[in-house]
Amino acid sequence: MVENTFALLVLQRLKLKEEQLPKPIVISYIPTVMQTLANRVADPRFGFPQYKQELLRKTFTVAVVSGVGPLATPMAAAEPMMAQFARGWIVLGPDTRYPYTAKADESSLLCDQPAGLGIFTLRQTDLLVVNSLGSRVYTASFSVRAPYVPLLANLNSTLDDDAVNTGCEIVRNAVPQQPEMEPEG
Amino acid sequence: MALVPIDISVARRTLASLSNSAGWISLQTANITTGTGTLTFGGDEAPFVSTAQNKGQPVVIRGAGAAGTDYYGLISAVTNSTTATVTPNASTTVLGVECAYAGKINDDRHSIQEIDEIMFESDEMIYNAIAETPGHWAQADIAVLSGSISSGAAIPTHVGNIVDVLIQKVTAAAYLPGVRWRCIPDINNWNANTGTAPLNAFGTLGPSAAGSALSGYWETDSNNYLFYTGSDAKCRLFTYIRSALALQSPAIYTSKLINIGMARLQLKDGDDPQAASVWGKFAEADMMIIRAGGQ
Repeated sequence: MVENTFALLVLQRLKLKEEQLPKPIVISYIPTVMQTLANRVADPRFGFPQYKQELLRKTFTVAVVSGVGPLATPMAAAEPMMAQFARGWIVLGPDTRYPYTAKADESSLLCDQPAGLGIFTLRQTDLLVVNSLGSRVYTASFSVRAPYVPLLANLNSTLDDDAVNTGCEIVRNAVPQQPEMEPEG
Repeated sequence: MALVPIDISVARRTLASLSNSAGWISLQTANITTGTGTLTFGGDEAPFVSTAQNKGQPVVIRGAGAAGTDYYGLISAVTNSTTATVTPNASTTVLGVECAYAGKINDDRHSIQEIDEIMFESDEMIYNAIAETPGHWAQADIAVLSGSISSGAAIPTHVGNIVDVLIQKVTAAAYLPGVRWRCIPDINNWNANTGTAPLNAFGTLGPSAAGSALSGYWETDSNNYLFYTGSDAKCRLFTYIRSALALQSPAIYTSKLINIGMARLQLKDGDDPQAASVWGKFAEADMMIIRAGGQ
């Protein structure tokens, strides 16, 4: 969906005219709308179906060196990886065909791990891994399938309606209350 | 649909006949050939009586003077009811034009030039009243489109408020009415949006890019400068430029033009002050009606 269409749909659903709320102001909320939509889709509490959650996931390649994989670049990308949902990430290393198991924090990596399974956690913008053999200095290329914040232009059309609804909610709360429009005639 | 303007011939003839205390008779079918003094009339116009009665009366013939200016002369002889000799000879040949001659000798208080001047002044008064009355129903019909105006440039000199602003969103696109957004800083911010960080707070497109939602907004400041987003803009506005060939107020205001014109014509020394007062009251009421958006 293009910005212009998004702005028009939001204005129409809110029954606002451009004289009351110009489209550029609606557009300025698009990053917030996308962030909110991505959060809601990824968060199980909002109940989005699995197929929609999968539409906002993609695979990032992370180069792990001595057990540490920097995530600063994918987290700052135009469509950034969402670190707050790390527990739901699918982290795959070349040492095992099973996904790595998420741990709450770095100290958890020191505990015993299930036999044959790798474990991982986040420390600020780094991915920390212990491979399936228990090595803490493992070096390999990992793939991380994680939720991300999409650009409006790249949003799957299945989510267009959710984006517009989220936009209406945010714009309605962000702008001063508008008086009801008088019927024309 | 554009309104028909007041018919200049109707206005001139009516004013001439109503203000005819000087005895000016207005005619519409005068013919005269350059280098001659033979003035003839066609149609059913037969204004002359006899040499004894008409000799010495002043005559004005539209366009028969030097280089097409109005001819001024005197009747020297009458041949019959439709033909007379005038002095001096005409400098331009004219056929079927307006002509006026004074029915009363030595009484030339309302010449055709004076009537014309009053007529154009009255037309301008009505035009300006329409232009200055917000929302007047006739505004759309008398407004004209300006040339291109850059954002941040002055709007051309005009009467009253501008009607609206037509914006060309992208080069070569049609000019369409813009949306007035009463915040010039917003418009400037949208214009500064290139679509590339850090100038992308209002989306990924600049205001003149195809498909941009930023274009099409405008506002004026108190110094008559126009600010807008888009490729180009023109204003619909009012500019009264007098034309010797046409009046510019809507024809539905013909009677009001006559009232206003008569009020001004009758103010001349020697005219009836009571008549001037009556015409003045009509004119005053008419101007109030026009400024209230009435007909």
